[in-house]
Amino acid sequence: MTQPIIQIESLVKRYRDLIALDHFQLSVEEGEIFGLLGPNGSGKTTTIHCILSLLAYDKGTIRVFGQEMRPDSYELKRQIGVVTQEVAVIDELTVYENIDYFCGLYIRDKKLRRQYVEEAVRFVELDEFQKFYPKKLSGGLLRRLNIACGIAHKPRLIFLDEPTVAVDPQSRNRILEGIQELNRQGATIVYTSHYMEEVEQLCTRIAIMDKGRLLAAGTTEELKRMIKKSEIISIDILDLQPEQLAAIRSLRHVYEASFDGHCLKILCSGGTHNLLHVLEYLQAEGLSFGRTYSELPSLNDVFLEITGKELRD
Amino acid sequence: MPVFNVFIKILRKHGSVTLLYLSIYVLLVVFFVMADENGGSAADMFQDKALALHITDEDQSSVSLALTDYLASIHDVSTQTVERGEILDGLYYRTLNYVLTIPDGFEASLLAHDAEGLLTFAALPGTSSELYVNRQISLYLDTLRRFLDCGYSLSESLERTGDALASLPDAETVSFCSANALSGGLLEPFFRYQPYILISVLICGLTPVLITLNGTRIRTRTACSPFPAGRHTLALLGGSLFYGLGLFLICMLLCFLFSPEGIRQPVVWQALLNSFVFLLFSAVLAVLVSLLITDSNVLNMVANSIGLVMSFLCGVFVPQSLLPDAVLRAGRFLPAYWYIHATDLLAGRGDEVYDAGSYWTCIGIQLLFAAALSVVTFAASCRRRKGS
Repeated sequence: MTQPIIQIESLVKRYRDLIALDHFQLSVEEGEIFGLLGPNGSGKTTTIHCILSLLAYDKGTIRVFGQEMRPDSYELKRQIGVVTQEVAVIDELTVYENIDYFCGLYIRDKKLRRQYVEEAVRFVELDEFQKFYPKKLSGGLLRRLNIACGIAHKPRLIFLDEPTVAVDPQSRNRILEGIQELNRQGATIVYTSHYMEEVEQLCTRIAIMDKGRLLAAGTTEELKRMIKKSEIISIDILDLQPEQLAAIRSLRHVYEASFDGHCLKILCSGGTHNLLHVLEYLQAEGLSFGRTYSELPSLNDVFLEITGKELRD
Repeated sequence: MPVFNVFIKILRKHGSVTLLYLSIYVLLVVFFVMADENGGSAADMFQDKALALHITDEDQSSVSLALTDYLASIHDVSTQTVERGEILDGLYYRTLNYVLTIPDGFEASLLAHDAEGLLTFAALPGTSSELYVNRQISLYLDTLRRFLDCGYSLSESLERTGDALASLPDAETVSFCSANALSGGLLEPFFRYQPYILISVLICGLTPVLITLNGTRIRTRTACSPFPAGRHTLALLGGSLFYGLGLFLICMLLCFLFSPEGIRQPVVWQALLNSFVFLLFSAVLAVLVSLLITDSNVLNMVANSIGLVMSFLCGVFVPQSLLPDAVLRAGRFLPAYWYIHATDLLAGRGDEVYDAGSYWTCIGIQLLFAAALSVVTFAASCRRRKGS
């Protein structure tokens, strides 16, 4: 069995009376794109800062590449890349100079560094903007520069903390494709984001945390299986009597049904072909209906059911 | 070396500000020296001068005639009887500077020790002629009285008074400062305005680099890398030192450009040491400002506020001898006061006579200021790191 690339056990971090991380556990395998989901203040950034030894913690152990992570674990840090949530570049340096500076913190060999910087510039598609200063770049280009600064030295493990915040859809797609490409090249990625669809599309495994605790972890499918909701059916109906609504509620696998005057919404738990059963009932009752939808639960539904709140609460 | 290299790179991008300040500084120094030369030195401004005097002698006594002769030995004196209107016209058109009337019975009154206020005079108000001639008349009459009081006869007293005043020694202005004082030429203004320039250049040139490289985001990103935080701090210190020493070197070059012979004068080296100590204080101040302010756009305002307040309170622009006591009392709590005090000692300006002890006291106090500010800066740095 391979050793996890990140192993966190019973991590406790307190800010005076506030417990930011409460016996937090986490394990990230090599080659994964691991998503860390949680509402604001849930402890995502604190976790990353503890892993990177930017913050001291009160209790627990953190092992990266099988070794204990300490502030002076420079050999471990050499293999880690960090893309911070806030763009951290130097306004007085050009795009090329910025990437070269941050890469220079890891790579001393000038020739190798030049090669890496040129590759990073090409990777984030900033070739045409190499001599531009950050203030002249759009939000999307700036984010790409921020990413290039964090990954130019070809790290084995990359932390991406909300890298697509305030980015236009076109740039976002490029960033996501880039992350997948980095993963294909062999990098393990720890990704935090507010955008559920991004996490769902990108991550091979996801951990949901709230109030400093790990609530659930697994693949998207595993997480979806953890919740009660398995299918959401929506049907446009002109009229529905209360007794008919009660009858629908009593159908097999249906655990909740509501009618708001024109749309019938049914939540099912388990089972297959639930839509067929509902439509059969409607037909038998002689009810005419319009558009019909059947959706599987999204990651947002998983998050909502597990934490009891929206991600942006 | 990546941090040091990027420090120098960013410094170069802010180099225009440093050059601008230094150019304005050089131009100002040259301008002030030229203005000073047109105004003339203090010694040139206060020289004996023959004025146009008219004396109306109603007494015609031996004393009045002797006084007239004495004044005629210094000034251009006319004694012809003229109309009052003509005298007033003369004063108005400045063909006459002073008009003296010696009343009848003046000699008798003088011998009776009752001549106070008997002489009447007229001069243009607001001119120094009145004071100048009055002082000469008083000197003559006081000397005469002393001889009379000593028991000499009137004729003997007049003769001795004439001799005494004729043989007065030539007065010479003596400066008690060191022989090679900075006064005169470009050096004195060059050193005098340095506090303002050093503070401005360091805050506008060095602080933005420190704000950039010491900013929380860049610091955090650096802390994620294998580059040790201690080496990052050392690189910033090294860069600041490089900038400070470079600035001091430019000051030295300018100093010897303004006064090539200064390289052999100990007083110039003392003034340079004084500048260097003040530069140390200014550099620490620039570092402190970089810890307290995160927006580079307000640095000009901060530099001007600190520089101007310090300059006006400590006598950079206005000589300390002209500043009110209350201002000087406040100024003592600022290092620029002691910098200017040392410069005044070296230039032979101000009330105090130069002595090495006073000079080194000024240097020591400035060093203490720099040390105290270093402690505050260190505390601010620790507090900021803890906060972030």
